[in-house]
Amino acid sequence: MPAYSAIGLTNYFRVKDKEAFYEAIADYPAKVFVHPEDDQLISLAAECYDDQGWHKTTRSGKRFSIYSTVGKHLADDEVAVFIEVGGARLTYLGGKAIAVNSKGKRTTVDLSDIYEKARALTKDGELPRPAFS
Amino acid sequence: MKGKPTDIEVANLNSELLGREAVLRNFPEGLIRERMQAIATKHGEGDVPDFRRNWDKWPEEDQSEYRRFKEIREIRDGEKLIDPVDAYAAKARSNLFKVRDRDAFDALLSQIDWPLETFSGEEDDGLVGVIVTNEILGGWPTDAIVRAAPGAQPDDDFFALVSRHLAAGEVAVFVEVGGYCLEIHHLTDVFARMNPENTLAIGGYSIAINSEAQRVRVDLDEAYEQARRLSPKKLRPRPVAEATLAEYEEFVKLPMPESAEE
Repeated sequence: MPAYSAIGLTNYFRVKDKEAFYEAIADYPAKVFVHPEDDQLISLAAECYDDQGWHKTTRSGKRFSIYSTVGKHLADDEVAVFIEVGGARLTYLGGKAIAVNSKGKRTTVDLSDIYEKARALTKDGELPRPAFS
Repeated sequence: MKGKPTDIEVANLNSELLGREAVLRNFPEGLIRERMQAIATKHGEGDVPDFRRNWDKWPEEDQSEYRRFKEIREIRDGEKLIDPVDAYAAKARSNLFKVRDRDAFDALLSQIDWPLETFSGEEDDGLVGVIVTNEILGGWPTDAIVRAAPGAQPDDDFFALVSRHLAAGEVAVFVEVGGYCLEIHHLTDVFARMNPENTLAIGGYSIAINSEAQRVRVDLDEAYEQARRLSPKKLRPRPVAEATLAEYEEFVKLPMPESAEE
């Protein structure tokens, strides 16, 4: 399968302590954007957009959950939404969105969930045919 | 995707891009050569393309006309990229499914004024899928484009049209993912070129539809709906700044570029 390219972006969110947050993600491959009109608002972008979206490891190879880390650092009642879309040329397309709040609660939407959802449309509740053979 | 333009806005935007693309890509090579040669001959030039001894003596209008056709030829031949634009760029692909009549299905796709192509699986099982080949046009055909196709009903969308061709019991799944980008060219692989600096927002959706036109949908925007249940606060999606949104609106209103139809 051709190489997968993806891009990941978040919304703008506030953290409790910017310096502490920057330190926590210092080894994580993401770019930080600061809102032009409010320097307390931060947005992240997955750095290696030509490889995968939100990485599961740091640059030095340690397992790392960006969702948990952001959740721990979010200011009260803040929510960060991580969106990732990508594809391997035209053989596969995918997209995922994860929202996490300051209490660490998460919700996920994945475009591939359409296959499970589409069982309701097939006879005998089968999965639809795949995107490639 | 937050701030996704209305169907009319997309149709306007796409008709401009499509118009330009169609004009330039389909400009007959013979006609380009003929026009260039006619101008050159007027000034006593020979047949050697792009070697004009008396170029400096040509009137400015002839130089300009010659350059214009040369540029069209370069764009047509893929040697030159069209000027970068701000656009919703997307990839769109379906799963593999079975249609009742392959010829009729191919005819349907050819009647929709959109860069659609079919693909097959590795096995010779008669299954077919659909892709959109021009990423800058923004994914699946808009409703306005679909409804302009012969035989389309006023409330049809692309998925409904395909549904009518599905074999009994079949389900077609359509995925579209993309983003609003600043300053992108016509690309062969948009995600390899998109980057956080030029991408304002990303999103996508998938739709499944069966031969009885029943459908289900998953949209990444649902994450924002779900996020609202995680916090009482107002969310701040990208793009956040009004100025950024305004840039996109400006693009929608871009004047029609100089075309070769004049």
